[in-house]
Amino acid sequence: MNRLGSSLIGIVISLSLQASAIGEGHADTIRETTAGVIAIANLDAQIAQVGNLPGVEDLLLARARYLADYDALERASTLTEQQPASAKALLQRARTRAALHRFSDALHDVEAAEAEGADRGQTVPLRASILIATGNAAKIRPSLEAEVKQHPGLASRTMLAAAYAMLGRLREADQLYATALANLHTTLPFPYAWICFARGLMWAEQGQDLTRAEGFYQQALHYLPEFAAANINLAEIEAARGETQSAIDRLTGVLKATDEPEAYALLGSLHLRSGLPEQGRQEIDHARQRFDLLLIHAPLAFADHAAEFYLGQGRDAERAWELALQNLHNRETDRSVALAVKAAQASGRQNEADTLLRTHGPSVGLYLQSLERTLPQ
Amino acid sequence: MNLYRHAASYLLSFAAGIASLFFVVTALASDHLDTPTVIKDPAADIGDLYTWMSPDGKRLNLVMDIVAHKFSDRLQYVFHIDSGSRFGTTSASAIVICTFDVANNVECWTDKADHVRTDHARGNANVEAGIESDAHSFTVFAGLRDDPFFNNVKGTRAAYDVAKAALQHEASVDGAGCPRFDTSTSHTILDTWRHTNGGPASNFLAGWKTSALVVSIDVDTVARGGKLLAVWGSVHRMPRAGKSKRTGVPAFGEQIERTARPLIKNALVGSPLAPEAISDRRKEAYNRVSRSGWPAFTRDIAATLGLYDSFDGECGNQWLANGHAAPAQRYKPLAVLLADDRIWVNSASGVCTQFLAVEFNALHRSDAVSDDCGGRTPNYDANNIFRSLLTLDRMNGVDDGVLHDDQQHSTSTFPFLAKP
Repeated sequence: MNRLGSSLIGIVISLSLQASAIGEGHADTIRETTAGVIAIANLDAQIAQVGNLPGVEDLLLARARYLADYDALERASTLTEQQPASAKALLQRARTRAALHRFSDALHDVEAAEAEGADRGQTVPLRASILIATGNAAKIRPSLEAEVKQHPGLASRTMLAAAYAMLGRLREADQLYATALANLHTTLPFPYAWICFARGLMWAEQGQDLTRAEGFYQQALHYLPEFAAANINLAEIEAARGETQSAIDRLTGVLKATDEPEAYALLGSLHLRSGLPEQGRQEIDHARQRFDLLLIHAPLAFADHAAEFYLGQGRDAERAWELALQNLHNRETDRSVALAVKAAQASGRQNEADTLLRTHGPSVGLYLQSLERTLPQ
Repeated sequence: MNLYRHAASYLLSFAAGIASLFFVVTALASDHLDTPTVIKDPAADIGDLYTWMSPDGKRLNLVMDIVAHKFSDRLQYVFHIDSGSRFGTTSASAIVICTFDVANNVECWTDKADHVRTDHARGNANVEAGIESDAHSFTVFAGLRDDPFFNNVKGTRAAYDVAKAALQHEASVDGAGCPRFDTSTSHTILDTWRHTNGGPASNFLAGWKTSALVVSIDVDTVARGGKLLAVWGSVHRMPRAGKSKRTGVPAFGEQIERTARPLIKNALVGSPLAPEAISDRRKEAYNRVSRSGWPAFTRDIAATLGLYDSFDGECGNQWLANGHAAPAQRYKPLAVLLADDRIWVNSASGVCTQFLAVEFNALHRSDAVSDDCGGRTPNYDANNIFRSLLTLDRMNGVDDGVLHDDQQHSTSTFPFLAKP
């Protein structure tokens, strides 16, 4: 049974037809980059060579980002929490805390780093990313636009693109991402993969255009076949289209390299549908155990993801509501509101759901559609 | 859900991502981690270039150290061997160009000349004996080895910080760009340089490993213009043009990295006291410029030479510094020499004991070792010789307290560099 309801399929088809009619090209020129397997081997070698010296944290965060290696994330966190409070160390801690969704702590570190004389070129994108992630894209937009005019570059363009995406200005965002890609000049595949992934995510979440999203996820995987999040998102689209075996193969590949609970949960639901109930249940149980463990170590980082799991395969609406509220208190984004609405409805709190919908903007609806698509029916 | 699957998490990690793209271990190393482009892909980052003659004088040895532990499958690694009969001028050129597949099997070619045919080798060169080319003119090794470069990076950084602080407070700078440090400051700079965190000096690169591309080639096939060889290395993107139909040798793609003598780019083109963005911009340009554009960096180098000249508290006593010239001309002779950034090897000699011996002999320096091949072997203390020349016009006297690598490397037994 396809997870995507027929009505949503209709939306997707109509959106993709609109995109075709608009005729916007989204197949950017693929750049020649070092093979992903070599880049990852070199990243691991760098991590081993640097040991626990300052600077290794960024390499560990890269490993977490591309390979869903949460042990690397935890190690980065442990290391940054131990360092003395120099401007450089504060920025590093802010980046790591932000990666763990400890937003207010991270912002505090950015301010402290500035007081210690940190380079503005580093504090501006970091603060912007935190503000956008916490639902303040509108507030930060004018300064990001000024930054792009004054210092056009990878950091300023991608930050403004992310803000535009959050504000629904998708074409402008896409153009900025394309410009950032065109101006990249490295043979390392990571930044290309990351920007392609960002564009895919934007079209999937804010644009509800899975066809376009799929193209960008494919591009990301062209640069970095091992990119866990891109593979999982693509598997979700494949599953929604009924390409169950392709999605299973993709997720199985991801799980050879990572203990990623979302991949387990999705794979479990696909096996349930494919007539392998025992295997499916085991995988979903494993996902639950893994989420519970991750929530102990990094509760804010995984609250929203775990809430979605408990709304879906985890089948625990009360737990989902608790986690969704925790996430909403940490960052009041449209997506967090939508997740809380869903959890409220699932746990029989219609009044709370109505209040949330009444007090927040219309774009919450977009994310409700997105959740409807990704949560098992 | 995957932590990075949704927009908010993605955004947050992007900021960290940008930072990590430009990750640097503040390694004031030879040519390691020199610009954002190569920092971003360590497989494109040449750490060091070594070249010297075999003891029997028949083969030229070439070593290109790459910072990454795997070579890229989308880059070309090139040795350029120019040749002539007198220092400073070359009339012919030869190349050895190597590429790698995803499994890091190597394929190398030499180019064709009037009386020299193309030679080629292909296979897994990560074996002690290396692999020999089809026509037996060269042997190639490509694999992980100990990094022979040694440097007290932290002490060097700390010494620069002392100089920077003095410049911000009281030290003036003369018309040629040489700071006038007082005796106490000068002593502190040199003393700081010889220590690490206040203690004994330590080699920042101890235990580091490098991807070494090692070629030992019949010198007669490359010394096409004379016995003096001038060697430099470069890294290029893989071109779309493919190979020459006539010779099968690949065309060059866009050049994104070059190096020869140690420290030229990291210590002189990019001044250690210049703002990072400015320094990076010049180093990027340095990496990409074509051969005819090299002299354009004479000014950058001359502007930085004054800083090194000042470290002993005396201006004008640097190698080749002309104390009687107009200030703008004081450092020009050395800057011109260094801007032609090639390692010179006297292929008439199989004895290699002195860094810069070809330059010293050509310039009639009294302490030059005559009939030495010069070049750069993995065992030369090139850093400290270079620093001493730039500060005192001597072969020693200014050092970072680290005088040799933690491993001994061979200059006669292929593939020369110690096992990792």
